[in-house]
Amino acid sequence: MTLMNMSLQVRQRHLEIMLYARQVEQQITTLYRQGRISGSAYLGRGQEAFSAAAGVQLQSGDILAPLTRDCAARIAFGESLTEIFRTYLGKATGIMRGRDGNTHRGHIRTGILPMISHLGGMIAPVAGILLSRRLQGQDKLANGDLHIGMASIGDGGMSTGALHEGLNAAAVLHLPLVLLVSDNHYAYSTPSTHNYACQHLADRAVGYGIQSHQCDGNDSDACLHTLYLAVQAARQGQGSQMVVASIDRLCGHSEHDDARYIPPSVQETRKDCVELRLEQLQLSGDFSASELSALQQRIDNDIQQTLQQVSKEPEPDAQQTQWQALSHPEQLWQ
Amino acid sequence: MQKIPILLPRLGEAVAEATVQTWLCQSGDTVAKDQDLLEVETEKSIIAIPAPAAGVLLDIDKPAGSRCQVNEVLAWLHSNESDVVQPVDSGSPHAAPTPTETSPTHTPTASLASNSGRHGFLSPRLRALMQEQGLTELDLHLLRGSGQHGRIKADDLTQLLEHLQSHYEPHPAGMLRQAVADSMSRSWNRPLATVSSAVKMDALLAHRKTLPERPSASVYALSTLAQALKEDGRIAKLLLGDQLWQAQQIDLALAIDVDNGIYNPVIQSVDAYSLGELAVEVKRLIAQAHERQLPSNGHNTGIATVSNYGSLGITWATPLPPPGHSCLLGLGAVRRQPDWHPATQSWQCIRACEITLTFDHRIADGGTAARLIHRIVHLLEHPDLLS
Amino acid sequence: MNIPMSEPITYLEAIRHAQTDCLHTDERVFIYGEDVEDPLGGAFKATKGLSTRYPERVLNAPISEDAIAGMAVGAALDGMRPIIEFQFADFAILAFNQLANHAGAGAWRHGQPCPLVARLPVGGTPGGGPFHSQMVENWLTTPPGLISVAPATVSDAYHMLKQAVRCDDPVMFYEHKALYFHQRASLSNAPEYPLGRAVVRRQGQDISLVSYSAMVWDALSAAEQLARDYQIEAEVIDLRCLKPLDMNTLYDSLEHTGRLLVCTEAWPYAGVSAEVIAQVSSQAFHLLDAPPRRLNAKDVPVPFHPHLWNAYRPNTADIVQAALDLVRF
Repeated sequence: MTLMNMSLQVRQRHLEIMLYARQVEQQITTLYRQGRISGSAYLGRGQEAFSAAAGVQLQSGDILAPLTRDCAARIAFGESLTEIFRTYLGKATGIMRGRDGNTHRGHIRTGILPMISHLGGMIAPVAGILLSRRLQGQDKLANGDLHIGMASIGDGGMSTGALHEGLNAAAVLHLPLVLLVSDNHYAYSTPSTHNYACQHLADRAVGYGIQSHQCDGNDSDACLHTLYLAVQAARQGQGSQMVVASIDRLCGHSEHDDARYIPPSVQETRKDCVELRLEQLQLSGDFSASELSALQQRIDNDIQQTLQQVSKEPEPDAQQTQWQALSHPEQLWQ
Repeated sequence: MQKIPILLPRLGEAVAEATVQTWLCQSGDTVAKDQDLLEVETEKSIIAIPAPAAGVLLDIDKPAGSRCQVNEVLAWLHSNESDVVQPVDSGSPHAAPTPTETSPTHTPTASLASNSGRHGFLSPRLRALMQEQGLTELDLHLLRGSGQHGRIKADDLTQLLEHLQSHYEPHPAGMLRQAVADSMSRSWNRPLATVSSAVKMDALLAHRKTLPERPSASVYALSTLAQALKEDGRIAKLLLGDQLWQAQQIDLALAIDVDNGIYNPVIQSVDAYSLGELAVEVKRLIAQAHERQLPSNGHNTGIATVSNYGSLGITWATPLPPPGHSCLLGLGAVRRQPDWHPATQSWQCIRACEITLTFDHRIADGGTAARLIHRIVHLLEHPDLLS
Repeated sequence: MNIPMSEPITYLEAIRHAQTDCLHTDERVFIYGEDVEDPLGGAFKATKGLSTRYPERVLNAPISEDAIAGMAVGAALDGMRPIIEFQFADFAILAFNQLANHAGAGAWRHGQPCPLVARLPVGGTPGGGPFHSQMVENWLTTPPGLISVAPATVSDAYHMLKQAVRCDDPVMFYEHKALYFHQRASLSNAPEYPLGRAVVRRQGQDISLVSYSAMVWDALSAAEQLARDYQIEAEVIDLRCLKPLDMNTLYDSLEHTGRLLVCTEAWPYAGVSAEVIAQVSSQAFHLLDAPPRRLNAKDVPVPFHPHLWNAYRPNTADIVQAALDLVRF
């Protein structure tokens, strides 16, 4: 598959996921500002094109270790709106049972690892799962391709020692790990120039002995195309891959951050990957304005219905909680 | 229609307050659900607050520039929507119960009262053992501690208990014995001193025969003590902290010896009784005491005590006034003795006894006690003076 | 496996045998760590020969402690039973994030147990110096969700490592380097206790000496000296499992001794000995006839020179003196 023959179906799905992510996060912002969300809310506004393009490459049995701005990849990999709202609202019914919140959601059985906040710390566990699959002889899809593990990181997280260790260890074992690097030029408030001195983050791949890929994260077709190539390489046994996208973050680090530190001159040049895509698809005649508006309305209805349902669900009860961090403490006495 | 408060939500984990920056709409405006109403500035950023429901904005409680706390009302909204979103209550992050440590099989039983310096440090184990055995710190006087600086170890007490097991036989002390022991132990916690004087008893013994009730020496003692205290009540006080509390009523106790203990029934306002009435009352109390039928004194345990130890053949003693009594008047046994009679320049045989006044030296000094006992002696030797 | 049950083996050999057994009987088990493959077979030879026998399941890792632990986290979540070897426990602090925030926190956060075993060669030997001698149990017993065990005997090293691998929760396995070659015993007739149990190594009624790992042997020799020279009978308790603590065995001992002395080679601040004393003080205060006391290493980095090293760590004489003070208190 190339850019030219990428099916309309894939592009439609990619668009739908982008819109889902954008609209869900808009709702999350509102909930947060209404005080219905404890803690904070972390959005991926502006990163949907790249994140969704990564997510649509995943197949059942793959592994995804998303970061804060990967709402789109999560949805593409099957995360339900219900789980998103349950975790944000801290519901007992949710996968995290109110024990963890916002973007720290996931479960090994869904293939989505619940992220910890320590950047770079998710890479080695993804590599570990891939190694485990290899040792168990369960690392292949039906067609003989390899299951992949996708781990997400930003320009900031690229500076951590944990990332280096995890990526190097995966590279040494030739594991099919795809590292998504969303370079949105700001690590919270720190500009990239304070974070790395190399010409381009993708240059680092040489040092690890892995393949690297780059794309414009605002260009949906470029994202879809580049990620397709990178994932195919990993699936076909070419080892770990690094994909670096240049992206515009259209929000603060989190919703308690208004990103005043980004100079107006930079703010003006930022593009919105979703707006770009909508224009593009209308110009190309793939979608009419009315089709798009109907799609957005359908997504909003879905969001409102899910939110209404989840809102009624119970919150965790401290009295009923088993205050036990071990899963099987009884084994110690047998 | 309902009036809905618009509250300041918690806009960040550590944010407790915010300043209203700008109102984006005015009082009276119609607003849509989720429409931004105002912008507030926290330490971290400026954030727009959306409407919790559609409606009409009423009063703005916090105009631009106001500082407000999380969950404070910013403004009120008139709305007929039933679906109103309200902030989660994130005000008490520590509401969950604290997990307890693994329950041990041993339940602590010891009371952790303050340690007295008298026996050195009383270890928790020693205290637990004492509680188990029903012992008090007084019981530790039996022991010489083998620990550093004579500290009594739990083992010392265990060894004593083993010794008792092999050399003694236990019997229940009984309530009365324990009450007396407790009372005497508490009384012993203060400096007590005793003054004494001889009393010629012939006049009193003669006076007694003139009354149909035949009052006993105890009755005369109660009556004289009451009169003496009424004349000069300086000794009738309680010391509590930095205050001396003066007794306002002359309520006296009489020590009554019974099998295995002493009772101290209180007679209120003894100064109001005639000798005859008092004799009747005392007789009644003694009878009740022997039948163990005395009513409880309640909180009123009196201000002083009379003890007629002379009735046991004792000539001189220093019984302890109960706790709360500033003095105790004791009567010794009456004896015949020679007495120099200056008028006839000869020895005469008279009947006389010693009386003792044991008093709380914190409250009174020797002079006060001496004046009081002299007055009592005078009254006993001149019973006509008694009302 | 053909482990010579009646022949005396060393503590290190017991650890190697346990790993051999695990690799043999459980295909989910693999070993990951620096230099674990032959010909070296581990810096202390704890995995010697294993990669030759199981080449696909004994893997060398880069010098990347975070990644070693992180890989094990991922594999354990995916159903494997990784045994990771830290070359020296001192370097495990670099993996603290993965151990605390992934391995330990997981079962509570997302409900999936993380059955990894981290082998941590701990403890000092003369000349080891500040970075090859540390006791790390005080760090790793703090975060919830991690089990910590510290065998003192050859038989415990063997059985507890196998139990740790069977355990569904992550186990920090502290193996004392001073015991590697000096402890030698046969595995036959050696009882296997539950992983979480503390064990009374010597009975006595005058004082409870509580310890774990190599310090158990110092406590035992102190107990012999106390009996011989002072007619004081000390009860020596080997905690074995440092988290969770088997407090009931301690309370049973204090029931007859009334005196507690906890001896460790770790730094004093907020550690296992502090936890033992805190729990005894709050739950079994009534059993104490003397202040609970502890002996720890001095609160300085582990010294290099043997003279300093000998003063740094509590020894038999220190334990005897502290026990005498408590018995005479």
